[in-house]
This record gives sequence, structure tokens and C-alpha cells, in this order.
Amino acid sequence: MRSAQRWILFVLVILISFQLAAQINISNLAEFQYGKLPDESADPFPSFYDRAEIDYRKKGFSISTTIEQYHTTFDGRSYFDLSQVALGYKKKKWDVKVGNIYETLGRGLLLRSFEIQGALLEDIGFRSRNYFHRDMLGASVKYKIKKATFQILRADILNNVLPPTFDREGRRTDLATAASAKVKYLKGQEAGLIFMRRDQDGGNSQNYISGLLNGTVSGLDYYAEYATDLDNDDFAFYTGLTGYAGAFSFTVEYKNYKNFVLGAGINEPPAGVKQQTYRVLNRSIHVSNPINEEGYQLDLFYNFNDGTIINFNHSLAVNTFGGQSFSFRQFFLELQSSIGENIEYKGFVDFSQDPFKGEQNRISVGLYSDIALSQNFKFIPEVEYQTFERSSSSVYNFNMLLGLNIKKKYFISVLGELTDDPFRINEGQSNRLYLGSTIRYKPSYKNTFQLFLGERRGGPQCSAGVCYEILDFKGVELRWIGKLRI
Amino acid sequence: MVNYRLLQLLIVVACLTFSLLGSAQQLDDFTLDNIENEQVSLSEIKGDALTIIDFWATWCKPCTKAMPKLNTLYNQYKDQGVSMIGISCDGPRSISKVAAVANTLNVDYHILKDIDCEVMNTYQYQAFPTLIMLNADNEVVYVHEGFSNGDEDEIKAAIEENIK
Repeated sequence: MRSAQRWILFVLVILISFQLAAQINISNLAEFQYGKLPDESADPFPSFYDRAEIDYRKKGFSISTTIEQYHTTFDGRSYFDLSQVALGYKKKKWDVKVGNIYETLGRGLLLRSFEIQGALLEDIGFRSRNYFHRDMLGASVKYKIKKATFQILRADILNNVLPPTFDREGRRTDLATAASAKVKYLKGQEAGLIFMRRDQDGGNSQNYISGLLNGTVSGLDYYAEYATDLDNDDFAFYTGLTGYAGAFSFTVEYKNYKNFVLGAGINEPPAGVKQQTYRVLNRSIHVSNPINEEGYQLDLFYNFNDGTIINFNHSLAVNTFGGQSFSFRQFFLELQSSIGENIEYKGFVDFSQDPFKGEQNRISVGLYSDIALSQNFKFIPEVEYQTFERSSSSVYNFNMLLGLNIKKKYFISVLGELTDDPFRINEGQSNRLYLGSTIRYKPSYKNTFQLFLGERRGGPQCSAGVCYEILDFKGVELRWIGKLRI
Repeated sequence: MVNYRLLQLLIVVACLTFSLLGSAQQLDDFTLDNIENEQVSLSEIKGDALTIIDFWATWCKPCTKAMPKLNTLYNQYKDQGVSMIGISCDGPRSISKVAAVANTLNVDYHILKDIDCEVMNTYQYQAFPTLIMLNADNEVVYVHEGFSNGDEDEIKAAIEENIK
């Protein structure tokens, strides 16, 4: 820890020394909570999480650090960590990174890292809190010219389920060494080849190869990538085709993954299922399982002249385990439009079958509105209803949000979620209400203050294409996001 | 514990010092693929007077709501040295829809694909959509987060103010 402190002091001295001749970006996310899981018997407790990111850059050179800390009254959950240090050099054709870096190879069949801005991860087993990202500790060199991109990288991949209370080596058990080349030919056509070796702590190593084709032909965009383990028959295949004509467009995707979860989960092949922003749909989204999954997705999009947009999506995902198949099917229809100049709305209808979760005939509907009461006041009502059958009994989820946006700086809302899901209610209850209120003050993009009071329902959540689990919460939560530009 | 407090105090003091000394953020040149699958650099497509960069994603509803309005502004000001670039942050899950959405919305400005969202993350922008306006020296002169009806008037006013 003393070493970490010396590093931080060193970086700060460097930043202050050079700030007149360069630019420095600082962002900070701080969150104070006083509360607990609604159903745990323990008393509410206070906790504080902070993540400060300091980035210095000058003429293509950059150094960035991230300091992450979590403090609570429980032993073993708190930490103070210099969680990221990265050096970068980007000039013309070269892009060199050393330290904590983010890179995705192809469409993520072999390797994907990511950073979900503002998302915190709290695992039910560890009950510590950490930033939701998957970075890599190592080095990457990329050389880009108009007709080709070459890259080599070698890095230890973060297992982000484990919080910084674990030792650094224990959180990074997969070492990836990769080389890739992508070459453009004819007009807008591209072919690529990726080789990757994965060494796992304990001595196991695997070799993979992936080939991809990407381009545009007669107004159709295509992408196809096939990756395989060179030592056995495991593979992942993904292909997509996109076309558009005037106000209409379509996207068709096909996937077939066989035993392709690499290491502790360093890859993430495309899910082939639409990411939803509506609460009930986001929570019940199908999370792709590359151990064994095959399926397709069709997405249709039409934009009318008056700005009305219709979106239809259908997806199928079949998982086969132990000779038994589970077929997830989804049909989704959405309409976005407006009435006059002051009312905007969007509504959806969704029908899904999700046998893997044991949820049959799942029907979801919802309507979101944005009503301008005056130039400075907007009323935002949102309502959703979902019902499905599980083990021959019917289950419903209902939620309603009433929000008020004042002068675009203040947002006040109350969200109530009612459910009779047996997985959610306690003994003797026929239903359960989660009621919470949020007050947000955003004076400018540099500062956002947000206060939450009440009870919040957790569950699966997908953001920026990545799914994770959030825990229920009951209590008070105050969050500040600040940015400084020097 | 005393050391932690001292360290935190140092960070706070440093941050406050920085905030008092504030100056404009400046973007370095970057290269990304456009939806025609060609590599383009910021330096190749930047505007002589202003460059507007809109960070968006296909799954972000306010983003797709903003794009036709931004396109109107782009067509209004493109002859005055204003360039507009939409950088999609769609990851592997939804990147295949980028060209479809952009074409269906009749977007005339440049659309680039950033599967790792590297440009947006590098400059520590976090909300979707985020619109930044650069002057001829690539200095950020205006930032706008989110989008609701009427925001196009604010953005237009910012163009008018900074194009001079």
C-alpha cells in the first residue's frame, strides 16, 4: 500500500509540474450509501466508494491513473487501490499502450475488454464494490495504414467479479498473447486473421485462430467471423448482414457457439439478442451462453417522414445442455412518435418464451411519455407491465415512474415496482412493492449530484451491451460525478 | 489511516488547484473506420471553423432522436466550415446495426465506428449522447449531454457563438 501511495504522489507531482504545458482530464465518481439489502437481517451500514481518474496528455503522449477506494465498517471489504496506470503514445500510424488497457479483437469472439461508464459492481458473495470494467494489464502495439491494421498484444485479463480486496495476481489468471492483421482490398472490403494464445495460471495453455470478412456489396453490409481452438473442435461462428433502402433497414445475425467461454470469461461473442432499455425487458433479457448456443436475430427499422420510428425485432437462441434444448424466442415491436410539439412517446409490446428461466408466454407492454408543460417543465410518466407463467402459476411485474424535469437541471422522480413473483416476495406476502425516489441536480456536464431514497429492485441489468447482476438496495444513496479539465 | 487522509487531502487540494487554473480540453487526432469500411482520421474530416462530434449508440433512444435534428444543423452550416461526426460506441452486440440506423435516419454527416468506445472514454465523457464542439485547433469549446426537444436550439446557438 505504501508503494501505491508513493506512486500516486509521484503521478500528482508529475501532473502538477507539467500542467501548464499539457492538458489534464480528471473525473471523479463518489458514492455514499447508508442502507442494506432489503431482506438481510443486519442493520443498515454506511459505505463510501470513490473512483478518481487522472489523465495527462501532451502531443500524442499520455499517462493515466485510476485510484479506486471503498470503505465500510466490515473487515475485509474495504480497500484503497491504485487500480490502473497506463502509458500511451499515439502518432500518425502508431498506437502504443502499456499498462492497463482496453482492446477488443474482431467482434469479441476471442477477446473483449470493456468499460461501462458509471456502473458499479457488487457481488453478493464478496459484498465489496468496484468499478464495472474488464481491462487488461500488459501492452499493445497497433500500426494502422489506410489499407491495413496490424496489432500485437500481451496482457493479463481482469476477472472483474473479484473485487480489489483480492490480490492482483488472483484477479488476473488469464494471460493473452495475440497478433492480428486486417487488410482492406477492393472498395470497402476487409479480411482479417487473428491468432491468440491463452495461458492460464497453473500451466494450461490454449491456441486459437480467427478469420473474419467484412465489407459492403451492392448496398449490403456483411460481417463474418469464425474462431476455433486449434487443439480441439471448439468454435464460435458469427455472421451478420445489414441492408437499407430509403427509410427501411434490416439486420440479420446468426451465431453458433460451441464450448467457447475462454478462461475466466475473457471473450464475449455477440449475443444476437436485442439490448433493451425498458426496465422489465432489460431485467429479463436473454444472456448469451457461449458454452452452447445457436440462434439468429432479425431487426427491422422504419423511419416515417414525420419522425415516427417503428422497430421490430425477433430473436431465437437455443441452448443445449445434457441433451436437453432450451429455445429462447422473442418478438418485440416498438413505436416512437410524438403528438404535436409538446408530447413525445414510445411504446412497446413484447412476447417471449424463456424455458431456461422457466418463464413461458411472457408478455410485456409499456408506454413512456415526455410531456412539455412549459419551456422549463417536463412531466415524464413511464409505465410497464409484464406477466408470464412459471411452474403453472402466473406472475406479474408492474412498474410506474413519475418524473419531473425542471429547467433541464433538476430531475425528480418516484419509481414504484410491484410484483407477486414468488422469488421476490417473503413468506405471508401476496405481493411486494419497491418504492424509491431519485433527485438529480446537474448544473452543467461537469457536475452531477444524485440522491436516491427508498428501496430499489435489483436483478440482471445490461448496459452498453454487457450484462451484470445488481443487488437490491434499501436506504439512502448519494452520488457525485465531477469532471475537471485543465 | 492518517496517511490515507493526508493522501486524500492532497488529491482534493490538487483538484481544486486544477479547477482554478482551468483551460480548454484539446483532442488529439484519431483514426476510425466509417460505415463504408474506410479508415478516416479526424484531421481528414474536421471542419475549417468547427467540428461537432456526437457520441451515440444504436440502443440509446435520445441518441437516435437527436440525429435527424443534428443532420438538419449539419446541412445548415456545412458550407460555413462546420463538420459533423457521429461516433458510434456500439460494442460487438449492436455494432452491426450502426449503418442501418444511420442510413434509415438519413444522416448525411460522417458516421464512424468505435467498438471499444476509446475516443469517448479517453476524454472521460460518460453520458449518451454527448456532443462536443471543437474549434479549428481541436479545442473543446462546447459540451452538451443528453437530448430532449428544444436542445437543437441550444446547439444551434452554440454553433453561432463559436463559428465567429
